[in-house]
Amino acid sequence: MSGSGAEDNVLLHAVSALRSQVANSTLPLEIPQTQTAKTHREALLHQLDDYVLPRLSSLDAPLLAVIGGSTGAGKSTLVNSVVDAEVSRSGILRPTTTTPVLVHHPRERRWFEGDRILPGLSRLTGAASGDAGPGSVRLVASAALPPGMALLDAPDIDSVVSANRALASQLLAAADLWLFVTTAARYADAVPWGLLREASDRGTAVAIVLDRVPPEAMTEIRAHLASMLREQGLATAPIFGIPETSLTPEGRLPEGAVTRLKSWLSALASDARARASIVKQTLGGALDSLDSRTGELVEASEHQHRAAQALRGASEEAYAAALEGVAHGITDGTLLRGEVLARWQEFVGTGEFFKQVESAVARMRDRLTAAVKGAPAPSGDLGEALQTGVAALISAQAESAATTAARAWRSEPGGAPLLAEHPELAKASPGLAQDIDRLVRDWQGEVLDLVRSEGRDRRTTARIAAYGVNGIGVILMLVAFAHTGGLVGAEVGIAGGTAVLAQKVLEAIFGDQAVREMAAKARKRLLERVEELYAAERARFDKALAGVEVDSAQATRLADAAAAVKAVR
Amino acid sequence: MSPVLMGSKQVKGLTAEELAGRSESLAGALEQGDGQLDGEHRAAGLEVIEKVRARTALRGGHTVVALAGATGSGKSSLFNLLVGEDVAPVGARRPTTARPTAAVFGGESATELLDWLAVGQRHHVPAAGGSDRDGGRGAVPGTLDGLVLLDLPDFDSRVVEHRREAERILALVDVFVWVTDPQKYADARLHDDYLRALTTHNTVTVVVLNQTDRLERDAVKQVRADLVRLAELDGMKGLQVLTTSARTGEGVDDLRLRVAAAVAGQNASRHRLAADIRAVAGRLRSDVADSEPVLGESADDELVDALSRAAGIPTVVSAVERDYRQEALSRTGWPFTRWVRALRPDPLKRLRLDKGDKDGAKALPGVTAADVRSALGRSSLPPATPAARAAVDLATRRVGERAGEGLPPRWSDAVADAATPAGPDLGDALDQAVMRTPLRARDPLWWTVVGWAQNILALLSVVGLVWLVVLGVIGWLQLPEPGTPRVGPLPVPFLLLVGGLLLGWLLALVSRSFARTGARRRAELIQRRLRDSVAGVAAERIVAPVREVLRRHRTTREQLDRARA
Repeated sequence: MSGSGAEDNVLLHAVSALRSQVANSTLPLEIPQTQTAKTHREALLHQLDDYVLPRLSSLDAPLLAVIGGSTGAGKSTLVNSVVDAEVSRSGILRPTTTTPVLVHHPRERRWFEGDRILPGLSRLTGAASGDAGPGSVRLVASAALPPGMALLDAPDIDSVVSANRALASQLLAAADLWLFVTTAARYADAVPWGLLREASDRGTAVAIVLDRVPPEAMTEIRAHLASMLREQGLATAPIFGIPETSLTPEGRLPEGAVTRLKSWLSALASDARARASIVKQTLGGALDSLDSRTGELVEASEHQHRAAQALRGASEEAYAAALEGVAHGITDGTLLRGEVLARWQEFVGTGEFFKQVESAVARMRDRLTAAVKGAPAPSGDLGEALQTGVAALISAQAESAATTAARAWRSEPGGAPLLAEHPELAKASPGLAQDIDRLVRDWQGEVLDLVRSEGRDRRTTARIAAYGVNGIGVILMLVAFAHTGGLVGAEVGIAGGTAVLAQKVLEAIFGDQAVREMAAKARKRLLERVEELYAAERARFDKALAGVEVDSAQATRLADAAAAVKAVR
Repeated sequence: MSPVLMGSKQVKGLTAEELAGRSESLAGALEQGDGQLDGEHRAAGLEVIEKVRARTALRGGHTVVALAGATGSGKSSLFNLLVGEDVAPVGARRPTTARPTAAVFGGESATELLDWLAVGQRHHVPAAGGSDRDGGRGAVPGTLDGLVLLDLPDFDSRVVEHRREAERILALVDVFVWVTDPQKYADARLHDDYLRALTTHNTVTVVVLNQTDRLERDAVKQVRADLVRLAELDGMKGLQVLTTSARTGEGVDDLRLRVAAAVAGQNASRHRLAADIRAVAGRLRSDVADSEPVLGESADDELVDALSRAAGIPTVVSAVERDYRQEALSRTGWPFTRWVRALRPDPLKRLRLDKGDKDGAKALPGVTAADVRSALGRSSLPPATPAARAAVDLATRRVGERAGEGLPPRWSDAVADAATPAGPDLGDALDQAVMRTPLRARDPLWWTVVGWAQNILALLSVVGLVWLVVLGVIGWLQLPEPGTPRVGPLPVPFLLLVGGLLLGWLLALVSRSFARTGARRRAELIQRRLRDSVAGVAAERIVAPVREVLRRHRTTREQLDRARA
């Protein structure tokens, strides 16, 4: 503060940069730590706007002493008595003050009427008629106050009205000097001591007014309070005792009771060096605290980032498991169980196979349907059974992936509110069944194309035509799914037989190397399509997350800005 | 209603049985809702049940009244006034009271109770002591005998231990007397932390606005009205607010009367415990919904379809259909080609789902195929494909979703889990269901009729053939030709042979189409039976567990409501 204007400018610049980083930071994901972090962010932003920036830009502005304290401690009465005018309403009903009152010397109005300090509060002027609520501040000019000093009567810090408590802590953060009012009945309360501890940690300049003290207990309580302040590291804070007396008809304290306080205030107001030292102490403390407070925000940003990563990881894991399940399901041969196996037996055992393969009628029909529809017709019951089998496998895995991901989200921090916002995530997307049907149809079309192109290459067209492209396609799908790994007992034989027979037919047409390649290619293409589909399904989770995700660079930017402030201090 | 109101007529008794009943309801709800209730709420519930047990097991009809409040509101001064002696230290330094002090009124020993409360500093006030000794204050109606009065440390002290001690004892006392003063009556700590959390305890709560001597008479009224307003905002209905001044003694008699009324009623402890149960049950109530989705007894079509496919019913049904056709053809087919069919495998046998009685009985007298099946215990139906299993998953999940609709997450998860039984149990149950279902139906009459007709026709054609052969032999041997009867231009033997063959062949054709229709009908019949069995499995394995979860939910809710009553 004692440095040159240029240095101050650099500092102001760094703090402004920090302020805009804090203002731009967001904590959208609702994880357990968020509420506290949001409150911290608000408080930090308020203090930067209300105090640090205005004080840095005009070090010679009048000293702002904020009068804070418990409800019923007599803050308003004290302000009225100090300026000897009814500027703030006092009363017996708690809490009395909800609109803060700023009392300043008439010549120093310019410092307070703009939004240099407390930009979030609207300005009111004139008599203290009604209560305008906590969103504004009333400006009152009083010649009884020495120039160079302004008093701000803040609402209470501990009443049932929570808006008061929030506003009071905001105002206290904007103070150059705390004038902390407590009473004989209150000086050991937990709430004010919490605030005093904070003031001591931040290095804020504090003066204590011990109000409403029974005259006979003054010495004892003063001594006790002084020892408590020493414990708290506030040994330098002056204590002004005011005995419990009856008020004057105007509702003020008798002249003698506040003389010491008044003279201390005017001495401070007239002594520029004393003022500067108080400003330096409080501003220095506030600047020092920026680092750790920004640190909290950095940590909160990192928490948010990590939580979002964890959520994304959970959904990715669920869909990866689903893809794995499909891959396993189509390669371990279990798709050939049950209905497909029964159909195959029927196909072979009843002679339908030979009938169908050899019958010229069937061949003609196959060719005709393919020609007319331009699309492969499912080759009888077997083809249908295969198709529904594959489709059901894919859809079941997708459903269970959605459920698994949703359950994981519910247990991850921050996931539950997101799910409540997007309840549809717990199920697969509504059009999935059609998508899967189309996927399987497309894949089957691709398998038939594979058969056709492979056939053209090897000039086996005639032999393919003898079996029918569709028949060969179905057999190829069978071979693609035939690995006897997952089968048991007699089924191995049957399924093995299925595969062997099917493979024989294909090998007779294409040759064994080509058959292996084709089967692998068919499997690969199916998995690729499924992967694509699942990626689209998973994107719904990513989209929900995108709305609440913190930019990973936010933490770095905040930390950098705080470090920049620290560097130029 | 309230034990702290004067006049025992107004005190609606809460018997020990009623309290025990509510505690049992709460315990029942905790047991039924285990796992689906919030862990913290549940722990609080168990704590309350334990507290009820401990407090009601204590002998003696003492009523524990605690003076609680902020630092400097004058708890200790009021305590001393009620006791009639300076027992608790009063001072200007804050905080004053570090440890709770107890005053036991009357001769009955309260050692057990005070040990339970873990209050070390005890002071005895002899029977009917307070008013007699304190003659200067005049005769006070109502005796305080049976009262245990506690002076608590400040609940807003900056000394954390004081706050903890106060909170520990506040959880155990019977009647709360909150002492506040014109400076502190609007403190957030009093309203937000205590009155708001104890709204269920309004019948055992008194708020005392002390230090009224610091205010004008009108101001006292205003402040009192404001305090009542704030308490109502907290949710405390019908709260009693007394105004006292420990300094002048004003209003203290009134407070003494309230306390005496609570002591005389002897049921403040039960009211407090009931309020505890009410509070914890109220919190637990947020873990259950107001109603359960209605679920029919039986499973729905989609689920039965999926299970049927998983159980391989289409395979069984088509086997049955083919079996019928085969059987029908072998019984009603053209006798000359029947034997070919016997070479084909029996489709039901292949699945080891034999038709029952007939074949098995033949093989081993007294042992039916059903016995063989149940001994082997398994059909050879192919196990369900992943696709079929997936369809079952899907269907059960949908059942779970529907049944869990509108329930809190934990409950809907439980419903979903109940709807999707894990492991091979379901598959086994389905297999058993298929095996238990009789696949046999009465052989249709037309088989017999047509069978006989085929035999007769075959016989006739054989007769015709033999006749013709005989005629041929006679002709070859140049024997005199016997007269052959003729129908129109055609000879009878020829008619017999050709007609028998032709009619038999035609009849076989007709029966073939009959067999197809019959097979379809039989298949439908068997499918219905199998579906019913599968529906039975679904009802037993899926719907019943879901209904059980819903029943637990309902019981929990009802028990909680009963505990809150």
